[in-house]
Amino acid sequence: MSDFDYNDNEAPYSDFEFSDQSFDDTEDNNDEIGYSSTDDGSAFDDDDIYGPRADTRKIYETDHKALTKTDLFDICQSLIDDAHSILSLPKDTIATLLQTFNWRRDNLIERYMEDPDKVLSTSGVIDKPTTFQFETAESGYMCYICCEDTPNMELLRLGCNHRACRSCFKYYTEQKINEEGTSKDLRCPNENCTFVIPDSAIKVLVTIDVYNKYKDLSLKSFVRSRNSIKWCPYPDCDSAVECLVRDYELKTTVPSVTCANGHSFCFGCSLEDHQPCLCALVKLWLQKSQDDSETANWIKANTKECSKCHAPIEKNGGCNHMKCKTCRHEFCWICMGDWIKHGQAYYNCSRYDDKDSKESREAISDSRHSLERYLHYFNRYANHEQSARLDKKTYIMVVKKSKVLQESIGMSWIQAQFLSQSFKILHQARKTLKWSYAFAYYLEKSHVTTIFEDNQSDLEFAVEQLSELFEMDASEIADRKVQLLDKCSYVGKRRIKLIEEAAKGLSAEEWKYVVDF
Amino acid sequence: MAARRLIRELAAFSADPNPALALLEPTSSSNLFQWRAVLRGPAAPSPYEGGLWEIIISIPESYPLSPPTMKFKTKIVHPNIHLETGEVCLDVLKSQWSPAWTISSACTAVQAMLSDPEPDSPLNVDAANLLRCGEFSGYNALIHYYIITYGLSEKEAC
Repeated sequence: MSDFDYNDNEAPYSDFEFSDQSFDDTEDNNDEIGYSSTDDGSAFDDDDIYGPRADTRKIYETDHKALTKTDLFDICQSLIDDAHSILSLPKDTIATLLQTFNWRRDNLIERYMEDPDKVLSTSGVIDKPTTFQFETAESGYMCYICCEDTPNMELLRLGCNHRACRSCFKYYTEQKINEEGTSKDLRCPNENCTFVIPDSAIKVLVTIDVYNKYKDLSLKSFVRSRNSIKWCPYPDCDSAVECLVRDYELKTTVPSVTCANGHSFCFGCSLEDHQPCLCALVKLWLQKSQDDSETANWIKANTKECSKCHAPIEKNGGCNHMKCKTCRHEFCWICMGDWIKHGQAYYNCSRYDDKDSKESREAISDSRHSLERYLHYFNRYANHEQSARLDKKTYIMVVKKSKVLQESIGMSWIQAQFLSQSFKILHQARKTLKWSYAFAYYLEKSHVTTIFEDNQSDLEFAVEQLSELFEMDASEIADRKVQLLDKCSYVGKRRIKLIEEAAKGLSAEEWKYVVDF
Repeated sequence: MAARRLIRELAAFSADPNPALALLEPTSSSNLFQWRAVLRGPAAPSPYEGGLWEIIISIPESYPLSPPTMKFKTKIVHPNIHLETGEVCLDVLKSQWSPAWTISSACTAVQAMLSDPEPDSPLNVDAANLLRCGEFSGYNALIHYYIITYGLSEKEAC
């Protein structure tokens, strides 16, 4: 894979098999999602940011905004600036106050207007123009922390009037930031003093690395304080997404979002993008498939059910004359019919078509049906998950092929890009298919689900065909480029169709589920 | 930083001893970062009156920015002290630590904790249960029993 950096950290991608971004380092799919992060990065107005695009977006899309670290800093800064212009306190002080108030600007302003002294004292700030200053020790001064008494050493005096030598403050703040990983509660080290060491003092005290860490920590506390902002869950990705989806809306919509680095994920549960399946169903499904699938497979392969009490029975030897341990019902293992009616025909059941044994077989319980039903969906889900994993190999092959195309056939780099573009579509479609099976498992059968399953099998068929096309060798691919592109656009369209129909049903609350959630 | 401060603290203690302690010194002359202290039980009505316990104090490199760790070497019954390991659960030695505390003043805080237990966050569940059920005579007797059986004598303390 040489210079194509396909997957730079393989191990952490356990939950997310693929970084969507790495398929394609040219253009990202901003055009597809409909919200570009750069067009108004600095604006942060809860009310009209999401308004104008609402009419153009597709039913399965959710309005969101990708935020880079810089955007987040800007948002914090603009909150500080706003509060600063209203409260006319130093920006340092405002920053501390906002941290204490969980970045609720309006809440802070309101409380401050009611009782400024109380707000200041509980937040550990003092209304003074200078919140800290450096000074030189007078003779005879000894730092109370390190007991250093060198004449003329540099001291830091905080707004609370407590002072200590500069190096002690440096160690103290670095220790708090590095060891305890806290950006809040960086208080004056003096006993019982609640004064918070201001940002600007930390900036001059500590090394640039530690200061950056401090800023990161405070950014994290900001994101934690907002329900509408979440970090991208992909490993080592430091961008965030803002999305105004509410908890109750998660029953009617699947909020797929894309971060500034092009990773797509679900805003509701921070798992991979799982259109068209609802977050609650995803959770149920994952739980079920983790708990049950192996056991269920084994039960299905190795047991039969007692036709009277439906207890699963494993035949571990002996003759075909079975006696259920639970209900004492005696039956034939071969035909499942009542044993009494077998008469003397031991070891040699030829009564398969007998009316009575037929009835017994038909009486096989709902539980077995539901097990088979589950396995039907699970096998398909697992199959697509597996294929998505194998896609990784195929992708490496695709990259190689595109290099061959460039070198031997003289196709330009741009032209050869269709391969990785098409591959991205294939991968996306597999992911959708995979989750559509989890979704379908929980649907109550109706004419709408029949349409859904038709769409599903249509997509599945096309996906397999496309997947096959990728296995051709390079020269053949060049020849059949048109066919490949056609198939790709078909797969893309069928995928959209599938999630669009599902989303319509979701928002109209047409789907009926077999579970409560 | 830590070494200088510890030497100062040691000098300050010998100049002005702490009545809560019968002894406070580094365990060996070669290691300044491990001390031992002998704590005196607070005066009556505390059930711990007359007791003497050895405490091992481990001091981190980052002292006094990080708190020292204290462990009772002598067995003692107290809701916030582990009966087997001697571990102490005290806010001053954890989240409420400030560099303004000293080893000696932290020992005073431990002494104060003996009289003022916090049975709602116990390390010794049995002792805490006695207290919560209001079994004061049983609680006091248990403490007394452990002082007699395990506590140091004045002679051992020096």
